[in-house]
Amino acid sequence: MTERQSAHWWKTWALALVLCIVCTAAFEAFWRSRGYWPTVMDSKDLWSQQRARASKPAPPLRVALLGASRIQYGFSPSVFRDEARKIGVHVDPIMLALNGQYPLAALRSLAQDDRFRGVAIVGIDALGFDKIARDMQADTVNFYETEFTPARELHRRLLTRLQPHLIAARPDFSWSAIARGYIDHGAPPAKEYVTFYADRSGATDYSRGQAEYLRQSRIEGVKRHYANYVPPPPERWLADAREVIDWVRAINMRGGRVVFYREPVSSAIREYDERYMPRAKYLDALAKIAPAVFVNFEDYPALDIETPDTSHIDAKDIPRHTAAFVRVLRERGVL
Amino acid sequence: MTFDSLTFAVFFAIVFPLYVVARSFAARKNLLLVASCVFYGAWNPVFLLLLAFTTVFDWWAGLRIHAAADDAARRRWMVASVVASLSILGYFKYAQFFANTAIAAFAGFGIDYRPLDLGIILPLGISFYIFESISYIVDVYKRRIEPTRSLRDYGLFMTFFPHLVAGPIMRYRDFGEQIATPRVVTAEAVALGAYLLIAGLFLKIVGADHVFAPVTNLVFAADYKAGFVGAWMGAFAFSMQVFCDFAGYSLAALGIARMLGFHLPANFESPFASVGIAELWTRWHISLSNWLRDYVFNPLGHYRKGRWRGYANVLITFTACGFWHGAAWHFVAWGALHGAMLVGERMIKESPIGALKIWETKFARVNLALLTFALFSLAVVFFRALDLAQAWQRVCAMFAFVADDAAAFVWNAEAKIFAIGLVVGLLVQAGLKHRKGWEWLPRVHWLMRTGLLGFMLVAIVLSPGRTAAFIYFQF
Repeated sequence: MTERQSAHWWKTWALALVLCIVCTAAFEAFWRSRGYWPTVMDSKDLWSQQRARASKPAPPLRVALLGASRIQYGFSPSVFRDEARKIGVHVDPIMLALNGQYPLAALRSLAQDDRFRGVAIVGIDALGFDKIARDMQADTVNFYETEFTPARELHRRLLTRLQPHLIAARPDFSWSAIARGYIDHGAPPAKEYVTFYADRSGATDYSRGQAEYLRQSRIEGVKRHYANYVPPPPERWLADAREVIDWVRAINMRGGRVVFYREPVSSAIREYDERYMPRAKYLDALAKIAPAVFVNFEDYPALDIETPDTSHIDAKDIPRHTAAFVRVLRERGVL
Repeated sequence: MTFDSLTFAVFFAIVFPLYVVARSFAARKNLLLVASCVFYGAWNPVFLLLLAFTTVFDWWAGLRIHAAADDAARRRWMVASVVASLSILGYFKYAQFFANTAIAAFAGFGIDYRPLDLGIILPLGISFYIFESISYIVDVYKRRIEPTRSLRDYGLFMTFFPHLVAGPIMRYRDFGEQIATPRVVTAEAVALGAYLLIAGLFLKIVGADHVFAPVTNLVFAADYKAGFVGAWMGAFAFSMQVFCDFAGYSLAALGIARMLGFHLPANFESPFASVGIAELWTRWHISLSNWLRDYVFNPLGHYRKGRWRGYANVLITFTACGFWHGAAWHFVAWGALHGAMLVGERMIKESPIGALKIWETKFARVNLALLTFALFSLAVVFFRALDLAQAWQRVCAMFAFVADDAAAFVWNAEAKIFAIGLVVGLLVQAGLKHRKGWEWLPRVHWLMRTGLLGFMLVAIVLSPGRTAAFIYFQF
């Protein structure tokens, strides 16, 4: 290779890198000027990274927060830790809730893991105990058990550092996602009203989104769901739940505890839950036979927090909700 | 650890400067060996022990073969080593398959057993490094090479991280020369190597994961009933996806090796510009097809024992090729189908039709290249399908035997992006068909090179999130 060609290689790389930096900066500036912002994005790797912590020995006491979006957008692990510290308990709250998926597969994973000896907080309603909902998180649990590697862990740690600073690191802002939005819908990416954090908790800021639209969507959704869903009779539901009781016993035997928590909901969700799966025949009946602590938001005024979209509390209420729940755990002798 | 991860970026950012500043070639080799173990162990440290066992045992067996006083002893050591290697591969890769097959066979006789889950985890890259160790032992036995007395050098041959988990499948004859003489790291080699690394990542991240995978995933979803158009689009999409995925990985491996002063053989050379399946296999996964030729097809007798025996040898070799890819019947069917197509092509060439040399006109060659791509895509359905039943449904749809409730293929954004990618991908391969290796790249006008590099970098940066595991990692 000639000296002249060598010089050209230097120019090639320098110019290409400058071009890349300029284009990325322009991309960031464009989307930020339109009201979008960078955020940590949830993933199986991030879940697995948190899940691995649940298997670590105490102290601190490992508190696994299982559930779906109501837990993920309802609790702040850092507030949980601080509130517990105020009452003299050193805990490590671990957010393992997964948006849109009932959590029993994750509870099963903890029950089968001899190293887990902490507290499992399971955000769930009667529907979540139904067998059809039992494996919703199995895919993610299976990923953790078979595919999560030290290499993936480091990759995810680095990505978590990067994502809060770059819109370009958001999968929903990849060139292909943006192209899909414009070609199929003639629209840019939807403006998210959920902000994610590195600890996997999220916050729904309804002042950013269309609360009334979301509320109506959820009400329509729950009506559609119950129109197509026949809940199992209470006897069969309870019989099916015996498998879950076995998991609870396994955790209890190792010195751990399990808390089933029905999170705050309102309006049609609350009405339909009670109409189709009345509390007395389902959750309360299970509470009588299961060796777990049951907490229902209806029994604790401090937990009965407004849910603007009927199903999730607003970001501003997360610290209040978390602190109230820690106090309830203290009252019930869990912490 | 995968080349498209931030973990690898950090890993290489540490290893490369240390390699450059290392005082001696021995120190560099030590560094590479340690780095390769870290690279592999970052996936699952336990399986480093298996890799270490294979490495040490075959290195020792190579020395024993060389030192043996008579041919019988040489043969015993060779057989022992090959059997050990194949046993390891057989246990980790095929035990579950054989157990399931046996259970299904018993069920056929009315003997009902529960499905058995052996819980075996497939060690990353095992098919590749086992083939490399077999080639080493056979070459020592055949006196094609002398065994190395350096365990470090043999260990580096086996574990050299650019090719460790997905090839190219190296031969000691090629690699041994490179670790015998000090490698020189030049600015030009680093610039070109990094360029190839970026090109490989572009193929994988942008091409495979963002352009082609969405259509593949749609058409090959378990609950999708493909119609005629959908089945063909899915097959074309997966052909391009698996090319971008594997050729991308191989290109990145070549680039990284070149930055370190090593040369790895090209694994893909514009395969979709091939005229005929026989030519395609000289351009597709070249290191595997060469390995199969040298260690399966030639020992079976090639075409030396007659035409029909030759056809049988081709079928055996390619059925084995399918089985090497995956422990499932649909992979076996994929390999056998390629074998059958190769035999069919050879029969046509040996027939009076072949004497017409119709493929010598440009028009015919273009059409035959498209036909070759279509045939490859037809066969690849067996490669990608979840099982034989799904493959059969897709193939029937490709021949217009479509179920009444088959889904209409929707020309949405993903399909349009795929269609553009398909045309561009085929044209680029046609344009590059007669270029060998990458030595021509420095001679391309620097502004064009810069524009292409800038485009690839920007596209990679703007393609987060969809990254899936490299397809060939499962083998």
